[in-house]
Amino acid sequence: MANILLIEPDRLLAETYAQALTDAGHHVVAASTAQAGIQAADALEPALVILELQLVEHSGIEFLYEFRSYRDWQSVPVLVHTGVPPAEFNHNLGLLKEELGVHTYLYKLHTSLRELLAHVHQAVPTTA
Amino acid sequence: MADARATSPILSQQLLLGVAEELKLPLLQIARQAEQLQLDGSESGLQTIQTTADTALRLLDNYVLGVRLSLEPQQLDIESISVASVLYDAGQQLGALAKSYGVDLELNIAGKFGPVMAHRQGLQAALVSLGAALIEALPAQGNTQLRLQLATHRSRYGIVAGVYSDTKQLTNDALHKARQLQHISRQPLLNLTHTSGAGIFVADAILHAMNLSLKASRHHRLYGLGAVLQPNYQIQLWPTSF
Amino acid sequence: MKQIVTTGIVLSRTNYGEADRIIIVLTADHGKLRLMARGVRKSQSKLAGGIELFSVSDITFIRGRGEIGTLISSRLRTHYGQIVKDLDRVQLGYELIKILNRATEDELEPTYFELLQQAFAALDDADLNNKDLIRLWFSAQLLRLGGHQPNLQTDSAGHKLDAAQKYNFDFDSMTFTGTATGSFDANTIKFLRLVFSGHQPKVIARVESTNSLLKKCSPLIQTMLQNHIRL
Repeated sequence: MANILLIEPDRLLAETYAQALTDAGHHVVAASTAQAGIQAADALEPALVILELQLVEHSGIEFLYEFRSYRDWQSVPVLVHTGVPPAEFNHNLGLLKEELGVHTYLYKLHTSLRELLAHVHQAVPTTA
Repeated sequence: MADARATSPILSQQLLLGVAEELKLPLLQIARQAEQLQLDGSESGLQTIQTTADTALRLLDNYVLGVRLSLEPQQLDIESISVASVLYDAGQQLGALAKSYGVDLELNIAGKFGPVMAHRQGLQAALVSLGAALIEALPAQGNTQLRLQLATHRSRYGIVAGVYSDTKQLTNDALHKARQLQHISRQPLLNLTHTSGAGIFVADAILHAMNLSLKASRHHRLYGLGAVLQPNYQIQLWPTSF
Repeated sequence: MKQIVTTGIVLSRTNYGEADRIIIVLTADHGKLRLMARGVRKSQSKLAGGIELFSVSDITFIRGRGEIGTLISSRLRTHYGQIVKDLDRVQLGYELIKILNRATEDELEPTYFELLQQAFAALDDADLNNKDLIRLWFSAQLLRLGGHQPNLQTDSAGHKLDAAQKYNFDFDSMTFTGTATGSFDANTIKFLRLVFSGHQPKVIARVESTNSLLKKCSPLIQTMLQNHIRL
């Protein structure tokens, strides 16, 4: 079981993803904004962050900029799971990987729950 | 009469682009909710799927109306209508969506307002479109107070019928800037919503096609967006007794 | 110790010890500063009102005995919020910050702060959807501020540049040399004059055929930058 921080602004999607992750045996905390994400991370000490980039006011990029500035969060895997079109994040792999430490980037509209769970399992393999 | 902007093919394309963007969300919700039901074998999510599908269908209807109004404004059926009844019907349409997002929906039509001249279907579609956009936006803002009020009041512009919540103030300048950023920026209303705000722009286009304007507005201590309507003075001139 | 208030843009942040950070800030009137931000605690992290990505902040600090001062407080003044909505813009923003940080020493004219601020404003302008232009303009301004502006008025022989002539560029003398088979014509040179002038990217973007001019001028300016500015 891993502590997962899910940063997802849409409530209905957040409930669905959180349910799927919980059913897969993880402890999930959901936040809808970048600021709430930092505060939730402070309380949760996540093993993995699943992050939408398109948030209200401050973006997922700004969350990552702040998140990665703390020493003990520098190696927490971050899985970007976003509605930003794949062409745009494919053009910016250097930025995402090297500057912001993104582990994996998934285009939400093309990623099923099963695929998301498989990526989560790769990032934080749970022990039996 | 609606001006060139409302009848331009570019505006219709903009509306259709808005449709495509806005429909991604409910369809994504349906797809993942349906998959989750298969994974956990329960049926409790079926109601949510139905609500989401109904929301998507209603959005489509509003957008088709918006395109028709912008293409053929001469077909507008202007009539004398009760703002309160339009708000009530809009509230009925938004109820299920508000419930699924955990937003308390309120109707505030205190005070006597005479009838206004408007296209009823268009006004209702605009209010539903605005309401749906704000219902989705409120939880995403990290608000603890999830309350949306459908309300009407008098202003120096006329009678304003709109949707309001306990949120940061949206100014008319920000709304004007957002109109310019539409389809240039992914998030033209980035302090209000995480989405493209297409629901708000669709409402804007529908109102514009009816020669009405969408304004940033305040209702008591709540902020939001409202349609500015003109009272039907003719009826009010009739003497109450002979 | 006297507290100093200034306006600044964060160029980089490095962790120091358990809870401290050293930040490098480009300021409006004190050049580049190295400041220690003490006891940076997550629970007090504020994305709005602190030191943020692509923002200009009002900063209060105390000078240290050595190279590193101490940050007392910061307050957000301008947040260029549109930049972070677009990954391409973020990428370029990071690139410009890095270039400026590497290209400059500590004692700086205010013009470098203004340059970065103008670059952020251009990147934040959703109407100005030409990142190559912003990059070119920024590089040209860096060259100009560093005293490495090319000669765009006379050729290597000292004659006024001729609208009917073609030219090649000599990087050593930073001048154009007339030749029948030259790569650069009058239009390109006029464009370069505009780019090296004080005009903002938004104005330059109005030039006809901007994209084809950019294709010609970008390698030229990038080579000048590599030759003359230590990056």
